[in-house]
Amino acid sequence: MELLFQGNLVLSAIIFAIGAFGFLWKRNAIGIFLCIELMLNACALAFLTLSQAMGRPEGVAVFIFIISVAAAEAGIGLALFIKIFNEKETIDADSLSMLRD
Amino acid sequence: MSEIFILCIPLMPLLAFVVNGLFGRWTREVGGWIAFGAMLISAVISLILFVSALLGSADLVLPVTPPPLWDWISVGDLSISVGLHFDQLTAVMCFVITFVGSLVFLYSIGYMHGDPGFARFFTYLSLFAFAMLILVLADSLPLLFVGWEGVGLCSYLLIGYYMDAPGAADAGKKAFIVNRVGDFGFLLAMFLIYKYTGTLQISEISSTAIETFQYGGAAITVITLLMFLGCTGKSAQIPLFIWLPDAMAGPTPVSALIHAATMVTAGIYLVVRTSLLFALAPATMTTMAVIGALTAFVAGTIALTQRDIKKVLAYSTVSQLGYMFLACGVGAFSMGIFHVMTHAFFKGCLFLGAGAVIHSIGGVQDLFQMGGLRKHIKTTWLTFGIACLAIAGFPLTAGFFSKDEILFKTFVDAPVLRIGAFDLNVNILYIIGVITAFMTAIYSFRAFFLCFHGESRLPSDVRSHVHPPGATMKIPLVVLAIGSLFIGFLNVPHGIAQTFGMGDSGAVFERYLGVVTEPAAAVIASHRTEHEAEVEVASADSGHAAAHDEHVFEEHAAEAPQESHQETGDVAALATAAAAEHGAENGSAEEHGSAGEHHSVALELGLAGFSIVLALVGIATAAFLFLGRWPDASSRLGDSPWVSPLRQFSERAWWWDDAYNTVFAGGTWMVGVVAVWFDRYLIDGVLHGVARTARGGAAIIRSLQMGQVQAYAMIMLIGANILLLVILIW
Amino acid sequence: MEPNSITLINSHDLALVAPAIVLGVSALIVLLVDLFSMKLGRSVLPLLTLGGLGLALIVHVTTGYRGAEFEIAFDGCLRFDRMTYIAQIVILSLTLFLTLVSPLYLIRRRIPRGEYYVLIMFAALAMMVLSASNELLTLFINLELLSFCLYILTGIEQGNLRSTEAAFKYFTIGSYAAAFLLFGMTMVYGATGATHFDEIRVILASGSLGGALGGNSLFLAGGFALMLVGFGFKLTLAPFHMYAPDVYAGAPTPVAGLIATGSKVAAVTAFFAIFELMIAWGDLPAGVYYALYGVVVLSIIFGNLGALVQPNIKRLLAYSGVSHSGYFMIPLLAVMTSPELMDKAELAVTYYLLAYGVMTVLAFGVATTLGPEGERDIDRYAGLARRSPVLAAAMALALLSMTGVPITVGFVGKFRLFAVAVDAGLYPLAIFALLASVASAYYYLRVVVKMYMEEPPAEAEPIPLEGSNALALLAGVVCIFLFAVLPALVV
Repeated sequence: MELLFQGNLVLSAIIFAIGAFGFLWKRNAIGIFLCIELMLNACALAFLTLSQAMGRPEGVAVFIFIISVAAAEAGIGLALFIKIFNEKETIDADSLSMLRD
Repeated sequence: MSEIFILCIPLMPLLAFVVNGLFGRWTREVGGWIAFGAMLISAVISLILFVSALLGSADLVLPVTPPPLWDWISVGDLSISVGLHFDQLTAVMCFVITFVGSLVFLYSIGYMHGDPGFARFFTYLSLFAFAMLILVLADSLPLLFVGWEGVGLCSYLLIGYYMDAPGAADAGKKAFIVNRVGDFGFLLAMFLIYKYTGTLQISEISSTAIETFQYGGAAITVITLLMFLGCTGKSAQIPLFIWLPDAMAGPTPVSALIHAATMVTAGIYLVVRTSLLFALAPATMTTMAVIGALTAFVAGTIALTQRDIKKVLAYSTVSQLGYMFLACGVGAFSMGIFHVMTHAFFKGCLFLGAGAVIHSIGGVQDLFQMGGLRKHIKTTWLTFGIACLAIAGFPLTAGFFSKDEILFKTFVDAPVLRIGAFDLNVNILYIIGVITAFMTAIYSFRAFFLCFHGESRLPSDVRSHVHPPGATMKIPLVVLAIGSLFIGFLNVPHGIAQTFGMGDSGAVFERYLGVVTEPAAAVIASHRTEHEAEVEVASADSGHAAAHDEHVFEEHAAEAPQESHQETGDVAALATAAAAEHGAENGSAEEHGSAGEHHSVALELGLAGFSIVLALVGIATAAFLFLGRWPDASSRLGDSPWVSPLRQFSERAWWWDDAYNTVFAGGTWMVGVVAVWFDRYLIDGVLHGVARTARGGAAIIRSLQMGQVQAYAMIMLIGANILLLVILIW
Repeated sequence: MEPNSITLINSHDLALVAPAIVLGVSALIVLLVDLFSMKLGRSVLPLLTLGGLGLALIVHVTTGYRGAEFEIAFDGCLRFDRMTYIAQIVILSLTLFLTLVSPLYLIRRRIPRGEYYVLIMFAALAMMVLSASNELLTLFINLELLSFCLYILTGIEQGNLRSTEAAFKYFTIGSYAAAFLLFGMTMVYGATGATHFDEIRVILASGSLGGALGGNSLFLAGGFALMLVGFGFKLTLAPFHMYAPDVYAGAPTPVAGLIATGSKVAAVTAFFAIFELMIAWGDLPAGVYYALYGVVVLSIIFGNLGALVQPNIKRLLAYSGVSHSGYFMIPLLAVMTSPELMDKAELAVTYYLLAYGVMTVLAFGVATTLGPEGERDIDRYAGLARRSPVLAAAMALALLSMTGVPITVGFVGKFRLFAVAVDAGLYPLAIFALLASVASAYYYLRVVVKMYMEEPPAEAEPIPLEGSNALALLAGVVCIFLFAVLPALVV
């Protein structure tokens, strides 16, 4: 079990890192959002693993909440992206740089 | 219960200020009545409280200290809360301020009628009343200072009230700046007091003063001198009196209220409030007495030749203020306050009367263009005349009782001036005071006669349009005149009381205020006893007994034998012994030993008689020079070769203003030239360099905001990494 | 497993969260009213919102925590202490203020009113509970709830590209930061084995970390670091602040006001709770202090330099907010050097919550009232004193307060913050912050000078002042002086 525990944690760290860096490279808004989802899910995985290892009950509850929050976020994000598309015919992140100094 | 009333006293004018300030545009004329009404309420409360206190009513136990209103400053060990303190002294001051104040407010309703800034005027006046009341009600020095500055501000605002008059704004500025110099002294004194006593509450300062400060020591002398500097600024004494004549540019009610009855008396109030501190510093007391006397004299000489009726009154005020400081300087604190009270009445009456005159002849203020107004404005003539009698010291008027008592106390208690190796045993301060009294009579009646009597010198177009003042202006004149006549009876001096069979019930006011001035008086008396005992022994050895010492020796005959052997004894024991002894008697050491006074009833009557004679002679002189025979007699006198330079000297106010201009203004200008060079080349250079760097930095920062989300995110990520590194490695 | 014997709902807890409940119910009512009646909604909605907020405020003041050290609700998930109490009052008042100045703005822009008010109230609800959070998950959920409401509100304006872009930026970076926060929480949980702050505090104080990762305290430190990143975003601390100027500029002005004030106030309160945990940890690495120090200094520098030549008023306020966040953190640094200053630091921060909230919301309120003119270039503010003395005076007071001119709430607040630093011996920091404050006068006064000393543009018309706007601005102005003269009213 030890290996699974450590492996899970390493996995979640890697997924988080992928998400964090991917966020910077992706041009498509949905791609960016996917990276955010990656990061959130990595956290959820880590949380579950830890709570399982410590034998504490919070893990599952927190996991459910994280998933719900991520889902809500998805809803908001996609609605926002639709609005952007309606106005600009594109959801390319670089095109959204009108506000600047 | 009385606490609520006491809180109401400053609250009423504050409310009037808010109402007039916010809604002045809509209230207009009514605003004046609102302000007057508010002051009237305060006046009624103050009057009731004052009379209760005077009569020793059981319902009013003084001092009343309402609980502090809120905690104001709490820094380190210093904790000051906003609180009020109401005792006998406060009662008098509140009475004077609100009573005379409400009369001036009423007067202003008529005087300022039709002026476009009517609401603004009453806003400032109400604010002034509030600030002045805070000043006298404050229980701590910082709060007093708030009131002090507040009245200074209002004075500035009101002097410069006529925005179109060219000189008015300058006069306001001058007043403010000169006051600032004095305030600087006051502030320094406050810091020092805090440093030595650790508190700024007046009651606490007074109770710890004797232990903290050594009698005559450097600390207390410096402190009190600095405070006195503040007083010379606020109360227009040498060397900071030059703003008061210029302040006449403001409306006459302002001159009456602020520059005669109330604000200028703030300095006297401060001295009496902290009288114990001054009593501990004999050097300052002497300085105060000397400056007071000198100022009275100098101002008196200037008033003799002024053409503008308001300027005459202005210098007269400076002169009378000098008397008050003289009184305080010789230890007669209650007499100083008593003169404040009587002066408020007759000077207020004089100023309001002058205002009525100016108002009735369409703005002419030059005495040489008036004359014969007695026929047209009878009430003003009568009240002005009564007030002149009061200020000249005509028997039985208020001015007679107060000024005469001051002169008497000067004669009796004046410090012995040491000049070089000589002791000036001749009472020079008394002499100066008496000469000034003579001049007072002359210049007052000069103004009176020139204005109301003789042939009319008015320009023809004005002559036909002389209109008497309305009721709102007449009522205050009458009330103040009545006051000038009768309020003096509050303090009939001992000798006169004895003579007229009133027994000991004469000096009501002195006894009343004695409760407040007792600690100071005790200190003074105890040290004088010690000093006089020394002198007595010395003079007994040398066989030289000057009249002054002999007189005092008589007074202390009862005590001297017991205490002469203690001359080298413990100072503290002496002080306590003397204080206890004096305390056993009426609680006011100023009238220590009606036994002592008994010996000098004759002296008192003699001096009083002398004053009366002087007053009458002065009036007669004025009549001779200025009544009817003008222009012949006085102008011939004025032009004669050896009087003319004196007259010029007086007209130009001893060239005081010019001296200040050259020395200070010119000197400052020179410093300014150097500073400009320094500023332009050195400091600006550095400044521009810094600005350029800042702009460069700003440009860099702003260039980072590229507008792209991921750029921001990248910076965040980098920042997060650095954070982690720092935390994990450091 | 035996059934849990804890009563989940009891009157004590309900009383403590009653204001939040009132807000939630009011929001639903507004939603329903908006759904079912088109015409009625027009004027009723703002009133309903105001009513809900007002009722919540009254309930809070009358039944909220009273003077006790603190109170726990819901099995330790919520904690109500003095800072929470004041913060909640401030939050409700700020939201009230913004609701008062919104109506005219909403009509001018194409902003759907029903949704707007509902979201405002849910955001207020989230802020209320956020400031009382005592447990990691509660914190996260409320933070996310607040963020969601704000994301939507930022982009709620129809047909405005800037608004949409601002919403996009806010959303993406906000989620990014939330993920960091969550990962940090995970690490803290892993290191301590608990999510309730009280439990964590006990564990940290005891010195032996119990979690699966507990053996290696690096994880705990790393967790705190990542949480700092997440909070740094919400608090616009450098270098996590970059989104703020863009978002404030693009969002509808009252929304920008809410982001700048309400969410910051709630976030500061929540962060302070986390900070107390960090302090309780005896082995806190020294690096945390230096990291926070660097963040503070950076925020003050970035904030002031960014605002220096800024031509856009909302961006200027954003940068100003960055520097103020830096000032907020100064007492925390002081506590890290001298733990006995905790009480004083708490008082200073609590007071500054109110001070900062009042002055910033007043500035945003004026900008809102001015409408399209007041949102962009500062040049449009020229001669405002002539066109509307009330607005100019309110703006001037707000800006002067931000500079720290005496007898304003900003001065007293800054004084107390810096005083804590001086007490702790952090003289360089205090002097630096003070100098920065003085320098900030430049860009604040620039606006004031423009308003009072310049001529209004030729085609400028006089500005109408709605009753509700005037009321709100007046209340703001009063507060600027009131709490400066009587600080004891707050703390």
